[in-house]
Amino acid sequence: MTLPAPLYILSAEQISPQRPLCQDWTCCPRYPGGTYCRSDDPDFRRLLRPAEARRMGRLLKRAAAVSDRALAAAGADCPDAIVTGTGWGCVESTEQFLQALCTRGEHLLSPTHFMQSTHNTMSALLAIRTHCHGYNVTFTHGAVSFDCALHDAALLLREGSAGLALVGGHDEVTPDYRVLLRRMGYAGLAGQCPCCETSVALTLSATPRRAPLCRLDDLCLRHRPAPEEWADAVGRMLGRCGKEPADVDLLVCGHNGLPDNDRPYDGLARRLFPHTPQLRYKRLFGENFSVSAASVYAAAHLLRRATLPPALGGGAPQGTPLRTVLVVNHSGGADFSAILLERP
Amino acid sequence: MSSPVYITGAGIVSALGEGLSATARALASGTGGLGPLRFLQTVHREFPAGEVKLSDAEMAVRLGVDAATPVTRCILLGQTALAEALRTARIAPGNLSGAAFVSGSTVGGMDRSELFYPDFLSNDRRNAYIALHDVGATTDRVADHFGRFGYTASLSTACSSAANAIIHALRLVRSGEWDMAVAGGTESLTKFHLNGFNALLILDHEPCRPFCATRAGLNLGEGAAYLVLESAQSVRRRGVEPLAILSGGGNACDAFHQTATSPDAEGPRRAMMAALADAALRPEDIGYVNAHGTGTPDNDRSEATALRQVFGDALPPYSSTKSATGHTTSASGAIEAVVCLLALREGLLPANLNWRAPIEGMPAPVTQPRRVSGLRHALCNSFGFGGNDSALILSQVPQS
Repeated sequence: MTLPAPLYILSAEQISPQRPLCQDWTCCPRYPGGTYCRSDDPDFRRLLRPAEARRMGRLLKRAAAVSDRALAAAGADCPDAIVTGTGWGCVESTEQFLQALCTRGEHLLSPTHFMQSTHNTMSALLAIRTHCHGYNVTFTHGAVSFDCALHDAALLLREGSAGLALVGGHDEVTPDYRVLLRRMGYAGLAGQCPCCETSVALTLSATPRRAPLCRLDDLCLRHRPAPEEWADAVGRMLGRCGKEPADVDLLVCGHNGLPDNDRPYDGLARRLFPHTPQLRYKRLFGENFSVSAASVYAAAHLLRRATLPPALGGGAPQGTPLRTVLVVNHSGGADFSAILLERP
Repeated sequence: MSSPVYITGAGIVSALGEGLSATARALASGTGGLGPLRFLQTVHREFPAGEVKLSDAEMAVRLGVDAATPVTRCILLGQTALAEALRTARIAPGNLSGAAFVSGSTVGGMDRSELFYPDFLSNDRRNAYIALHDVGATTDRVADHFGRFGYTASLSTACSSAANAIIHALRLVRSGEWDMAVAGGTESLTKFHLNGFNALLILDHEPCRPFCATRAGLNLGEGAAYLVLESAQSVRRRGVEPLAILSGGGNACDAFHQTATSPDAEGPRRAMMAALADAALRPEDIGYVNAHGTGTPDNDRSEATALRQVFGDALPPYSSTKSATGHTTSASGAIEAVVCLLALREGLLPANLNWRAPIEGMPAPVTQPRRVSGLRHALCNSFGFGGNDSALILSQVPQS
């Protein structure tokens, strides 16, 4: 049996509750408190042309900024493919159109808000800005939207249809949307890490050019697996990549403080990784539909550093070398994702 | 050349009716489904639409969905089409863990959200519908009605969502990751996008006339469709008869404007060329093109340019069946892929209804349904906002 062809994450950038567009969180992490924390936006006036930025909503600005930075770090102007994940898309525009529809009725509605309300607005904008006529899709599948996008990009690269993919995960949480997320029992609840926002872009390459951050060995996505089936699927993915559970140096997992959310992570750890240190990344990046993109971003940068920084704890002895990291996420107990990353 | 990916089942619901037979009959007789709105509560009664002629309650009863269960029209349409797709592929509910399910939508639960939004913001009465708002929840609810699929995913690329869902599913099967993948899309009419398209001034007050010199916009439609894709190995193992082959898919981005298509039609041309390359076919192999053909002045002009660029003077028979179904937006890629499947199965060229006069440099589309023999490959175009352009190629199963 052949190993799945490895791919490489060349660069990864974020705008989140952490200091934007840098990796300061590895030495001085912020632990957002309360139930709601918006992203620490960079000064977009320094990053985007004013004429361009005026026409963009907040999420579009973030998507443009992290993507520009990720492409520059990969030494690329134009990717071969753009694959985006988003839970609810450009919420600000959707809300403005919906609010107008509900209060003013079906007259004199703004076409601009409607045009920017579709989920694929970000992918389209990124294509226009980079003049990328290649493959372009947007996945919107709850909290594994980004994971689906990364999976699709990996399949695309492995079949040889593209050499470099720009993969992103973007969600904004407006004050009204935060109310909705709380009412549906998803985010911003007492006892849970706060409801935050995420914009992450990374470049995925079929070749290890320009000192990659890490290797992407494989992904495994499953719908409603029983706990033992999930452990079995993850174990088999490790096996395909010539690894055993004991080879995993760090589990990056999506605990958020709610028992229903945390149980599957604990179950998988108990079955396969009883002694593996964990990084519960949502303490740093909060909860939203795209936060799994931050888990891959964080894991990639930790692998570049090769050790778990003391500031992040994780129950690992200081200086523990990182060679193999497994990132696990799930969306409402329905859709599960595991991503195996490795030092190149 | 990779081994073929077979289509072994399909399901459809649209303004043309429920199911493959009703759809085939409507296509063969040239009967359109456009008419006044009956179920969508909007002040814009002036626009014809391709509404599915079933109420939410009627669909729920047929599907055995409890009347007390919160549900959206998008979910009910999706379940209606998926039921037929699984039945025609002879897949028993409860035996789905070896199959992936990939669905495209944009509106998701918007038909309820636009009614309940004031409640969403102010009280807990409609919380169940907040959880149904997003497209991922729509996909999982459509899927979970029938059992437990091994993998689910949702795409949202505006009007090409379903086509891209089918392309992702094709990749899942070709890569060997899944033996079987059910893919397509579902979309209900909503006030949200009816008003959005109205604000963009691209709705026609008359029945739409794609590729006609007098065209003045699109009519919205709704519906759902799914294809069951299967590897050769799985087809042999299950002993099922393939209906057709999904030979290829192409996706490209116009990278020009959020809603307008470029005059040089770069995205549509690249999407068709990519589909042909993926299917290892030449333009002259295509016997029928189901065009995206919305009926807006811009889209059809640009698509005509792209068709001429790809096919030169040898443009195969083409039509836009949106003149019969309305523009079913995110579901259109799957609904029209099923139209292509029926065209191949029945040797039928479906009509571009309401057409009156040619646009410059374009031959007339198929204006009356026509029986043909030897139709081997059909190309199906789907273009979306954001310049998300896709094309699929469906082919006859070679007689052995």
